[in-house]
Amino acid sequence: MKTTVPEPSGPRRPRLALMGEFSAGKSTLANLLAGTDRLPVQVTATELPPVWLSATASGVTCVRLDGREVALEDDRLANVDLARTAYVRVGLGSGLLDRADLIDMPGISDPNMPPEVWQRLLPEADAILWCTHATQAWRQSEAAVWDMVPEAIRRRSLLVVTRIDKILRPEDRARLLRRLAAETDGAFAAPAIPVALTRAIAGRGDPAIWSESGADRLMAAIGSVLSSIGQGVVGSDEAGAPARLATGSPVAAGPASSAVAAAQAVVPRRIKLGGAGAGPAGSRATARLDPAQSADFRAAIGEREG
Amino acid sequence: MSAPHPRPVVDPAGLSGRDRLVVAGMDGLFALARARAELGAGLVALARLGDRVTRRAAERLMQTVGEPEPSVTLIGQVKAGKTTLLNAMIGRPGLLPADVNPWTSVVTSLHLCPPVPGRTEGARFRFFDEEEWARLVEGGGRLGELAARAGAGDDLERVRDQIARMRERSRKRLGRRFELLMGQEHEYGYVDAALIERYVCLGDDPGAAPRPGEEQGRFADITRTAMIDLTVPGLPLQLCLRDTPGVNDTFMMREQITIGAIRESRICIVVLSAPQAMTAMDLALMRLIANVRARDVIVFVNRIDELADPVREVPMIRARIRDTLGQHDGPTDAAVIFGSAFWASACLTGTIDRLPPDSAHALLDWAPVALGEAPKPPDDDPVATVWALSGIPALWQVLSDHIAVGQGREGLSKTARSGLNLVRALGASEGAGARAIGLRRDPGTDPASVSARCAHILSEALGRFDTAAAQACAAFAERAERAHRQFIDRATHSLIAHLEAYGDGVVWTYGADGLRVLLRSSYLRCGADLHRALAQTLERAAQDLAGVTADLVELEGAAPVPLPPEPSPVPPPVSLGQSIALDLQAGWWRSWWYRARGYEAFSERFSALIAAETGRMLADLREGQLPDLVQSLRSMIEGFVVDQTEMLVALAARPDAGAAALDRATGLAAAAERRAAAERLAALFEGTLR
Ligand SMILES: Nc1nc2c(ncn2[C@@H]2O[C@H](COP(=O)(O)OP(=O)(O)OP(=O)(O)O)[C@@H](O)[C@H]2O)c(=O)[nH]1
Ligand SMILES: Nc1nc2c(ncn2[C@@H]2O[C@H](COP(=O)(O)OP(=O)(O)OP(=O)(O)O)[C@@H](O)[C@H]2O)c(=O)[nH]1
Ligand SMILES: [Mg+2]
Ligand SMILES: [Mg+2]
Repeated sequence: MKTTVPEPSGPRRPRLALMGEFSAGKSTLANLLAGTDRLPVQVTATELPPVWLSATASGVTCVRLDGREVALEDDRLANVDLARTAYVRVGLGSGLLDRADLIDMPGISDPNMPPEVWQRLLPEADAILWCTHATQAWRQSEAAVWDMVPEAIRRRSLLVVTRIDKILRPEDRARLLRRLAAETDGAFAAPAIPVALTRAIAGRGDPAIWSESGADRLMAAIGSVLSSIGQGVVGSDEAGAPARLATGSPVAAGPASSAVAAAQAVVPRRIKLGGAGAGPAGSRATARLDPAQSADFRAAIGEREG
Repeated sequence: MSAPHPRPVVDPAGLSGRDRLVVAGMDGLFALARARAELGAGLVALARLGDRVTRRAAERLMQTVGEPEPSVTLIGQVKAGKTTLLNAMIGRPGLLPADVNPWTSVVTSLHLCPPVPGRTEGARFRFFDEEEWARLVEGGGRLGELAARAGAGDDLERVRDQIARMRERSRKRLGRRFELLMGQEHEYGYVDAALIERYVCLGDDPGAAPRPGEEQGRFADITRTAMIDLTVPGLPLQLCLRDTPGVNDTFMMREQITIGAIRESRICIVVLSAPQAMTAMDLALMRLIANVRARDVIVFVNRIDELADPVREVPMIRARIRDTLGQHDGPTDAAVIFGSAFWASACLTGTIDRLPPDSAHALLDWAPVALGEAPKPPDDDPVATVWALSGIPALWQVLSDHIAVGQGREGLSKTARSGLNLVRALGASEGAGARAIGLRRDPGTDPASVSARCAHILSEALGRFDTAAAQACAAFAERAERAHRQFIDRATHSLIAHLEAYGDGVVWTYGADGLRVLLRSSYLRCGADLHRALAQTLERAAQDLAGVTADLVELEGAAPVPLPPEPSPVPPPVSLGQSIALDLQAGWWRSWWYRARGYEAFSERFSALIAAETGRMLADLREGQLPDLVQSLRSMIEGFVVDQTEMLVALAARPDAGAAALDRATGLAAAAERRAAAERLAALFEGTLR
């Protein structure tokens, strides 16, 4: 299965791959973790090969399947030839990248994206952050791919439930998480972690929003994953795989204190809002509505705007 | 039995509140209902005009004016919002249970009807019988069979394990009744959410022991079908909407139930989720349905209220759907409608003033753009505006048009055709058209002899048709088997070439669509042959029957030949829609491939798998669908000849008939009037047929 892929040079850091269905929020999460907006984010599937963010690299380099490397002038990451590219390497040291490399994978289940594109890079990852849409969480297509991931990787990976802001009622969130706990029992290092990624990005620097969005718990868990990788994996063989992380209720439980420390260490220092969908929704619409109707209409749907 | 009366069509302008919202966009259905009412009125007139036999036949026809009941299936990935959408479409938020976790577990047919005196709401739930259940448990259903064939023992185990757990759960819930319930049906004279919840939803926390007194999903695991009769005020005609369990659920059985239900409706609404529209799973589903009938797939992209910027994102999603369908041979001409079942529900529950802030923003953003396209709400009513933005009226509009031009049209023609036959038969007995001079009283014109002659005509006709049908089916079998053999040869070559070039480290995939196309065209060709045989048989039988009329009645001019019925279009080859191993490229196929690697005789193993899988598709066509089609055409011949027989026997039994006798009894003027009325009716029916 392993088609070898040219590896980046330099000291090896833990590698976290972001995987999941397309549009699940992988790139949004990568942007959040790396404190950047470099990764394109959009509502439809993004047609990019894996993007490997690493502090030990520099510039933007297209690594071809044949091993050749081509520096990209244009660092917008557009127009990369999917058929010939193994991955795109981006040198970046911000946020979590001072402790780990991030590999933002293309989504599964995109009919236009051959699975080989992410499959061939899979063996490079030490752990996976599997992103699943809260509103359609953990479907068979995800479970089937997860089954193919080696057990050792699965045991130190996390299930991140993105778009949790779209499940409004707390009791529904709890029931969703209970189902995920039952269905993915033993398949991840810890219980599923719900997070509202776009909230977290918008609320950077505000501890209340940071915590309310679920980003703090996510950071804590990632901290634990990194230390488990650090303990047993990097530079040693698979036999030294770490024990499973301590588990607890993702809703209520506070993370272990060492994890809290880790969490603080990985809060991004600076995060810019991504380009897509950044403008305040509604402004354009308002301009085009007939003012009288608009005011009434807005009142009717009970718009509460500051 | 009292004579049925055509239902007056409700004027939508007279409705208010919710009822008014629900009918928005149903223009096509209203037009169809009006056409049916006109036809119905014609049949009433015909019943009054004719004798007892004609009246009975006209009354029977009146009952078929509403047939076939148009039916529509909602289908889509788990949690796309199918159930919520369905509830919104019929103006009954919360009626069918919806949830954040996988929920619908039974195909649920809602038979919708305008309120009619004497018709009440109700529900029937049918349980699996022992045999079906045993097959599920032992074989793991269709998926288990597939897994077994692929040599994926652990997948088979998993499916079996899921089913065993389901059975255990049901046993715990139902105790000793469990066995007793098998094969039973529960019927209720009312419907509400709490009742439905006991039968069709999964219930909380699958796997967990039920809480005492927990009614949710009490019978869900063993319920095979749910049929619910509902009244919808203002609805112009009767119709059926079907909710199905979501596909791509980890509980794999559910998907099989849904795929099996595709064949039950001509029209499918594929429900997608805007934030992740058109995944490989959605595409596979659409192609599966499209293989069946492209024209009748409608896409509803739900959850646009969850988009951060619908104005920018909806066109992106639309373009993406079109491109993906185009690149992968999907049905690019399918209508694509955007909307939100959530907004629709808010309209129905009177909560549009309490939308969550993100949702309200999306709505305001989307409003000016969408209102340019959507059917305009009748006034400045904000609820009607939000309703229009929810996409429900647009969905009803497309749906109504599909129904009206498809099943609706066919039903009208069928009835009009039979109506015309009745008018013509009336003419034969009463002298309209060819003037009847009188009944002949030759030997062999007594009722018993006429009946025997007609029976002979029927058996001759059936014999001729059976011979032709057997030929057509044999020709199909030959063509299909040739296509199948060629497909397997090509697939095997491709597999070997792949292994030589890449080894077994790269997954080999091979689409089965080429085979589907070939089988489909062979099937359609066979269908056309059968229709031709049917037409010839009916034509001949009609001539023979006219011969009986001529012997029975003395006529000036030729005896009228009854108009034979026309068959519905050949039913789509739904057997081709079943998923086979090759289609499961996204998930299972890959994992099987990797697991089977290194086995001895790897390529033989996969070739055998493909042969078995595609062979199944072919066998289903040959042993299931074609015989069904032959049977349905055969019963059309029977129906036609039997109806005509009844009229001829009645004619023979008339003590005193013929124009002269009639004229004496009713007066010449009355006879002329009746003739004129019959001609007007003939014109009405002919008009419908055009
Ligand atoms: N409301 C909400 N939106 C989110 C969240 N996470 C991601 N999104 C949005 O979801 C859409 C898809 O996000 P991406 O980050 O591009 O998803 P992806 O997984 O990288 O998708 P592919 O690269 O196509 O596989 C974007 O519009 C994001 O803004 C979240 O937690 N809440
Ligand atoms: N925001 C939003 N939520 C929706 C929409 N449609 C449905 N929902 C919610 O999504 C959840 C799932 O809806 P269901 O109607 O149960 O979905 P389904 O497709 O029938 O699910 P299964 O039967 O389990 O396959 C429920 O909590 C609904 O309230 C929508 O348009 N917008
Ligand atoms: Mg991405
Ligand atoms: Mg449902």
